[in-house]
Amino acid sequence: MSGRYEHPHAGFSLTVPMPFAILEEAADRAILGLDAPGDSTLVLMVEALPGDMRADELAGAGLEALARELGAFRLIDRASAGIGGERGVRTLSSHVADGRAMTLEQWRLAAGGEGLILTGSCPTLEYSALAEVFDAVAASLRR
Amino acid sequence: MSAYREIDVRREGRRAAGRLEAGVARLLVPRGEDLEEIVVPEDALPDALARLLDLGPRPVSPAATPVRTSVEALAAALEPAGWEPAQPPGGGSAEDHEAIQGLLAAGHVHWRVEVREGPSSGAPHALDLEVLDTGVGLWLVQYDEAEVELSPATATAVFRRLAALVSGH
Repeated sequence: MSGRYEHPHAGFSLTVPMPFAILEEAADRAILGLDAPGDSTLVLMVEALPGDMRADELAGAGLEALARELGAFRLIDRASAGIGGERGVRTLSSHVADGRAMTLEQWRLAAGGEGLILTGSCPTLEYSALAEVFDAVAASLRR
Repeated sequence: MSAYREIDVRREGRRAAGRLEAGVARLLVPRGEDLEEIVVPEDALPDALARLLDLGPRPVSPAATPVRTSVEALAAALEPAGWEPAQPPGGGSAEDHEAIQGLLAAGHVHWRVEVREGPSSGAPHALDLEVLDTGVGLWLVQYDEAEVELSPATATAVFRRLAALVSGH
């Protein structure tokens, strides 16, 4: 069974799908993890943006940072996407962390000096099984 | 003999082949006149295949819709790339050929990946993925007897299928 989650301060809500659960909540983020041992997470972050930064610029800056920080980073996809009724940018990338191949799918929205970044991360061999869950959470995002 | 899976990659008439065994993938990949061996852990194989096939962001037209044609028309349009259709050719029409030619007009790369159980598994089973990488985006190639459907796809959708080929789910 899935449930609706509303962050108490950051002004966003989303559907928490089974088998995920809220693991951590902070002023600017919520972290969802699989309700079982594993490395798959969904993280939603709110970020103050300079001026009138657009989602595409937010994605560009974010991808540059990932390329600097992650080992064997590779961008697989980057496209405009509908996210919870707004237009944003969806990206897919891969990297290696602690010797494991990981896949990162991200959705970014930007408006009114605020950015919203949803990141689904999982071991690459689990990606095909989790991709639809990531999609569903992105589609459920509201602010 | 231990269980293993065979990997077969065909791209524009060139072929890379190898096997996945005990958590390690070994592929012999053509480089010029030589063969280069690529060795990666199983979980890195989807990404290694993505690199080999040059999978990356592509345009996706919101208006793009599936194109259905005969295997024969597709084979004719893809000549002379050395493509061998996975199904026997059926009849084709001039309209089929025209539709495919339009899709391929801006250039294309055709590739296919197959991962199948080795003979020792006792349960022959193969998963495959065939794609046309064109100037107007990526198209999944899916067979239905003598016909074939080309469906527009994002690089994300293609990578999901590559990951599924390796993970088996």
